[in-house]
Amino acid sequence: MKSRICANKKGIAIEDTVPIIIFILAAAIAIFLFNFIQNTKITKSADNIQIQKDRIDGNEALLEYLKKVDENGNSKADFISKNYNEKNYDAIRRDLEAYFRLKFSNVQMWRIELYDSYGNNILRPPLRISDRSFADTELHISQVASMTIPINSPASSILMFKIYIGRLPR
Amino acid sequence: MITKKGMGLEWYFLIIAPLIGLTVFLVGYLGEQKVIGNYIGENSFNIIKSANEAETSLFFIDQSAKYSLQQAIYELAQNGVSVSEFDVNEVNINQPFAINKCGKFKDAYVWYELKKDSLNNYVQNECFDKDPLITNLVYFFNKNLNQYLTTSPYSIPINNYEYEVKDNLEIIGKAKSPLAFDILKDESKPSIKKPVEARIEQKKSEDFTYSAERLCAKGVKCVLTEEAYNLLLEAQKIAKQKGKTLVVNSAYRSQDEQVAIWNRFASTYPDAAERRKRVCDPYNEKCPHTTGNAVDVAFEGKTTKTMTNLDWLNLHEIMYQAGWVRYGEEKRYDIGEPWHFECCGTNRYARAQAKGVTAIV
Repeated sequence: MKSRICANKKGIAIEDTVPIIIFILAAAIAIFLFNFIQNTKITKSADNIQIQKDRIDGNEALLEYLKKVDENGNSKADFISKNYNEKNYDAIRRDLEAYFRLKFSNVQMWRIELYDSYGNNILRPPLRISDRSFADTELHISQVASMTIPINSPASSILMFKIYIGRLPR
Repeated sequence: MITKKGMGLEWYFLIIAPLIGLTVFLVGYLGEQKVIGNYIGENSFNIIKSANEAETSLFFIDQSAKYSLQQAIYELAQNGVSVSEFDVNEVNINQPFAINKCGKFKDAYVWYELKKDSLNNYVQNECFDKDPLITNLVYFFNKNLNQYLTTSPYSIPINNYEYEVKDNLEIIGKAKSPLAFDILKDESKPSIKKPVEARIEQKKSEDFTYSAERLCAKGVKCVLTEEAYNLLLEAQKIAKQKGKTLVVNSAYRSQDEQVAIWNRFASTYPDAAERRKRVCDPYNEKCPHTTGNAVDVAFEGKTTKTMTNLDWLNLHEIMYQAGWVRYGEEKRYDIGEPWHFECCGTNRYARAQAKGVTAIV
């Protein structure tokens, strides 16, 4: 092959360089695109991983809270059901705040919404705790937990928890 | 290949390029990297998330079961440990007092009886059967649990448990089929919770347990097609003009619920032909309640026992004027079910329309 290229009587003409240039350009573009995609993906992955981790932590924290059992054998879900039926929403708010203040001590902002079967948020004003040094607009807010529990009522009502946290973007 | 001109350089590239392409294809698509279409660890997150979802669903079931049992006991006590008349006629469960030995005292069944024997000693008689009592408890429990599962946002199948009742009111439910969770689901696509209900929703069903009309009895899953719902509103309007209020005791049932009723009947009526006389066979016919176009109705504050013949007559007239057809025969309330009405293209409705009658078996 070498002899055919080098011992080519005709020699390499200018038109022979065109495929080489095209080949080099195509390879350069491909490599550039590959690197660009890779870099973008890495940044996106870091954000994704943080969000996914927050979601798992958020759900686990909420589930752990609802499963907590008092000395009488009643879970927090029972406590919420009872207080919801008695319309004692303040007791629910206080209990949620005490527990999640500790759980989310490392995030800039967290908010809990609790919706009844009619779609009303029973925690009014909204239960929201934030680090005052950051405004909401500076934070990247995402929903990290959503869970539904039944209420002990003949109408088979439900309550839906939604937890949001806000973090500083990277 | 041997030409005077010799092979041009482009030909070498043309030969090399497919080879490079093929190699890249083989490495990229057939190699181990093929499955890594996302960032490293994403699948692990998905698995953990699915485990969380499963745990959440199980927690919902556990809590629902706990409340369902409490409510079942309450409802059973309210009904004097019997199933209500509507359910009895639909399901035909043996009642604890069906073979009552002790009779009634002031219109209430006697549970225990103390009698003197020949030696003048007091002997205690139990006046009810425990087996139907357990059956009724399980019936209420399952009904309540289904209601919770239906309202849940999770994809939990209803009537999915076989129950075993143990001493001290412990109900153990063994799942017939496992809960399914999609690990690698596409979160951008909305998940459809339950196909049967979704189909009904497409027909624009209404859950008027929460509506201002309050047409449904407390705790009844009240779903109908839009057409049936409008006819029911019309019936309620006519009833109000006559100084009455309608209460719906049963409306749409899923196929699963109808199958469960059919199966529950099996112990009492093992012969399918005999069973079909009492309950709709979901395997061989289209059951009216599964269409969302059938209702069981009575007047507010009345039961099938306290509804008089005049009440049935009035009810029939109101429902007929609104466009409903009754299951039974005209002016006879001992045939069929005087509380059961159908509309909007059910088989019975079509037959009644063809015959020009307002009630048909």
